[in-house]
Amino acid sequence: MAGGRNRAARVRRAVQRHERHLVAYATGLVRDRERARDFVQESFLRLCREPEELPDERVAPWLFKVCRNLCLDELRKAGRMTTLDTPSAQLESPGPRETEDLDAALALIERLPVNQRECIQLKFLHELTYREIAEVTSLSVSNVGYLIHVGLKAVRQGLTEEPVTLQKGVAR
Amino acid sequence: MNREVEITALALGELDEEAARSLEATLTDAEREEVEEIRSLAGLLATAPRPADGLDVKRHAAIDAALSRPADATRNAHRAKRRRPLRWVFGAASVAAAVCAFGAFLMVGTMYDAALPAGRPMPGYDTLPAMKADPKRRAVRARAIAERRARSRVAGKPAASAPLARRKASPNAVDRQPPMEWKQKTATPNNDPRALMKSSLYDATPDAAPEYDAVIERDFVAVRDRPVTTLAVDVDTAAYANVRRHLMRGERPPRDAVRVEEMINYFAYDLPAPTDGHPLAIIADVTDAPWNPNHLVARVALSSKAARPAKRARANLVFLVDVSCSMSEPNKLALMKSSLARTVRGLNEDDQIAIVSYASSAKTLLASTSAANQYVIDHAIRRLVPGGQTNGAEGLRTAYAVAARNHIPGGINRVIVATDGGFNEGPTDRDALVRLIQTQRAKNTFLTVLGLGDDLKDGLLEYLADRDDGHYHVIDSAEEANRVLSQLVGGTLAIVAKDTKVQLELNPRRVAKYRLIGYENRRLANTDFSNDSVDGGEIGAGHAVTMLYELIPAPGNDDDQLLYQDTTSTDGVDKRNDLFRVRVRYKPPHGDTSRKIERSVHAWKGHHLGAPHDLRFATAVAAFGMRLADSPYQGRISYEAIAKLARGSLGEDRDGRRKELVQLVERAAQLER
Repeated sequence: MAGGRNRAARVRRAVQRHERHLVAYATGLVRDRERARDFVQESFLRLCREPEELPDERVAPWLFKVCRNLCLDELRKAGRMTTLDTPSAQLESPGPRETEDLDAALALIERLPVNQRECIQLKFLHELTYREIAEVTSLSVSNVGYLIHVGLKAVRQGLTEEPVTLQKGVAR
Repeated sequence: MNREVEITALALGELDEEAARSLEATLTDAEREEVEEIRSLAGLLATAPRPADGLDVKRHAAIDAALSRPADATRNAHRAKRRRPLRWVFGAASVAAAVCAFGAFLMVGTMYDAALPAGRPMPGYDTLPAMKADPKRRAVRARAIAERRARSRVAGKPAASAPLARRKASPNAVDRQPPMEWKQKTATPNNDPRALMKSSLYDATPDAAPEYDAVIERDFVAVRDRPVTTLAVDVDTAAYANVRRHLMRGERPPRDAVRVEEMINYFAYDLPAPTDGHPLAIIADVTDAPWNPNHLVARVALSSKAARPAKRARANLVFLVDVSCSMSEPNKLALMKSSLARTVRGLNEDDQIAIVSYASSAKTLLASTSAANQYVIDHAIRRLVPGGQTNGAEGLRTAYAVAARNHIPGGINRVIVATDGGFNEGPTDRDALVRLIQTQRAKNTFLTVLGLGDDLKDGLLEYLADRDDGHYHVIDSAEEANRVLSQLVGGTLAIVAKDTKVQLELNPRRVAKYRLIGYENRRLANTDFSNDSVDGGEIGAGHAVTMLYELIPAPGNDDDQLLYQDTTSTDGVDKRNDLFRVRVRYKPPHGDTSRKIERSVHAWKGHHLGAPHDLRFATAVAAFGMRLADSPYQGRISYEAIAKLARGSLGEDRDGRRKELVQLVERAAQLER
């Protein structure tokens, strides 16, 4: 059963590497950490059952995609699809940070339209490439590039325009 | 894609090489500015805290249970039979995985090797001189470890024979991975989810097991037998970061990774600076031990004069760090990271620091920021992980661009490259690079090259550095790295006291037994205290060091004690109520004769809650460390109680580190459940 053991090791590595990112991502979608954890757990269980051995570099986008679909299904079922189109509720308070710029930038990202926000978070927080983000979101690569471009532009503008008032918008 | 979108993609490194080059060639100045702005925002976002919350123990167990079922059964339960033809794919993929894991393993091993102090704990008590880190010996050892790992990889097996697998594996373990250090519980049945978790999911893969020197705790010593105890101070704090990394990954740290004194000294305490002309001041106080109501904890701390306000010009430093695969050896990236972290602490608040990494491409990990933003900088340093080729040319260009954007007229503007060798990817047109360096130099931005490792492939680097007044240093040890880096900014990492030793004389009237918490490898023979040829520890300007002693108060009352022994000293002061006396010896930075300072500490009659924030917090950290290490002295305190204690003694917590500790304690509590 060498193959079985290898699989186990690979899945465990995937858990170690991606669980926190997936929980954060799913929480951003369903706005409920416990539900998010359920979906992340289910994503990993599906990875266990996946008959095809994924190459290492494909594991992350695969997990994000599966997790995203689970979250979206849930939202659809609950008839809360609208939440995806409205500005997000606030997530839990971020850890201690020292730069006002960073706080402001993160607050601005939270205010972006949901598709831009999602792409930007996948790119910068979860460190996926455009191509991987395209795979996760079922968008085209150029579409992803466009959303990230527009989103970043808005954030940059926001940072230069209203640095003071933004501080109030930061989750506490 | 329209042009704007493409420029964003270029800035984020999303264009392939050819497209990037052709676009770059046509950029206008305004567009170049745009690229820089986007990169600087990306650098800022890269400093955002990574998500910390993973799955909980229950869900881990569920995944593990699925994995412990035979793979075929698992698949059959959910899918049609498609399994046979996949076997080969499986095998091939697992070889690939093993190779990857080996890389990760080298990296992890690397961090530990550089982070841990070299002196080994020694048997016996108070009888042996402290061992000083011997960089050469360490380098040799590190190389030996790397070679051993490399050999075992060639042999196609994980390094299971490494000496760390000291404790026996449970034969019932769900899958037979070599045990981690801390896994010492006896075998538990397979169906107990706790057993599942403990046996496998929280274990690192076998080939990622780091090596730690064993920590052997000292027992209590009777004051009547040995009233005096001596140690060489040590301000290392690396163990805390190791512990944090393990806990954040959802695993309990190996017990030998837990060095309580380093955890205690990771935190900043509000200690009064010396006022009496000495560079050091002794702060000593006592409280109840939170883990054992019958014991006391004494804190002995040394504070030093704060660094003099800067006389030098402001500095704008851009660190360009090679993170290609080859940097993952113990004496390269890990060494650089710890030195970098230490250097930053010596900078002034108005200094600017930026960090650019390069492998296959360059990445601005930290946009230029004030050196006061410790948390952000530390975060960026943590994100230096190896992998990829060595596109040094792009790295240099990016670093210079960052330096130029933050140029300080009349200040120290410098790009510091840390690498182990040549540039093997990207355009390596020597003359173009030399021109770049020379132009920048004409604009007062200088280059320093730090060569790391034993197998420096430094043809080009040396060539480049030769064009810049020979600012080229080979870094072979942490000491050398610190020396070089502190020189760069004009020696701000000034030492205020060297060869510092601390001695306690305890009063047998008041204290029955004592035990130094941690510092297993820093003890000295009592006679070494006043022997100036025996090395102690160095204390830098503005640094502090804290030691905790656990005391068992003497039972009974004064009548039982010897009355005629040393009750009043020649100065006429009654010392019967003293708990102990602290003596500190140090040498001034440029002297060879030691000086002594001392003070006495009186018996404590108050309650723990009345003790200063700092003292209470330090005891919380100690309790946490002992609990994590499963110390025989951990007492009965729960993680919840430790968290509560820490939460109640946060004080100002200017850098947020204390709050972080509370989170770590909570994580540890979750793992326990």
